Amino acid sequence: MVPPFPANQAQAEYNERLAFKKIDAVVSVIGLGLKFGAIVLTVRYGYLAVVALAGKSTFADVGFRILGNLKVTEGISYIFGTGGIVYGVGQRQLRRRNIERIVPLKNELESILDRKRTSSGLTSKGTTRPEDEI
Amino acid sequence: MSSEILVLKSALALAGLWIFLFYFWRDYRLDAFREHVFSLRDRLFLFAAEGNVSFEDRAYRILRDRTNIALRYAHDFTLIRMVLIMCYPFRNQKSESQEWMEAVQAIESDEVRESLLEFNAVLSVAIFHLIIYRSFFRYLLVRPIMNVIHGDILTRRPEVVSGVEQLESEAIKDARAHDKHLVAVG
Repeated sequence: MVPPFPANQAQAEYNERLAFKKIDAVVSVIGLGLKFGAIVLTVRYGYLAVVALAGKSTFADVGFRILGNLKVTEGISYIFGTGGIVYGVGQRQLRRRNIERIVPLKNELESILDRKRTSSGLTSKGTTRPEDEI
Repeated sequence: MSSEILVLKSALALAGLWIFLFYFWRDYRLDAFREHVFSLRDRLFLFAAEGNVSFEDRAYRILRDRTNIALRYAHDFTLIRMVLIMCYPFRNQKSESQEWMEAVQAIESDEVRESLLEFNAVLSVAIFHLIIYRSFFRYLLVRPIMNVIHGDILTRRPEVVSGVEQLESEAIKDARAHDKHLVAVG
């Protein structure tokens, strides 16, 4: 088979990538639909439960009932879970602040040795740039 | 009345689980991956700083750019995308890994060549781990097995390596399409 000319090759590559990106976009949308569908369904059932309780009891009453029905072990589990999340989020913030403080100096020192040094292009905290998330 | 309370409590618990699975866990895995790859990039830099390979060497530059792209586009490395890339009948794509292999083969020292190939293999395994561990359930299922399996087994599987390399190639092409050049120091 005769290899295609470079210009044709570039065009063929572009067309192929475009076709792939379309499929990728459809699959991504389906994935997002499933992900957010789950939370919408959960919120809907929560809402229906609140609607069923409306008129029968006040919000304070519902709150007291939820808390009142709690067993000691359940209460401990909730405190443990919430505490774990608070701890994890706190640690993450500390780490990101640490990255923001330490990394610029390291990068500066590295660029003395490697003048063509390239960067990851992440934010100063080491997270994904908002424009890359799209 | 108590059944409504039960539904409300279950909905709250499920919403909490959803936040954990789709926000905290994914963010954590992404950060863990980036931490691993940053440390790999630092080791690669030190390897060059010690004089083993020049900072100007083509193979070093390609590997450095690949780690940068893996860091930047890590959020795009998903199992679905990898499967899609592996199944899609690409015919006209230039292979990024071919350019890398040519650059590595051009290095005279066997030791340096082996080291750079090992850096590349560690990067590929890290990407593969990220893809698998992004899902909490997959993590629970696979992580205990991974303690027993050595990374070498993964890099010896051609379909795994090819899948990861194709995924990397896609990210490289995306990066080129976005800003043509990687950002200089920053």
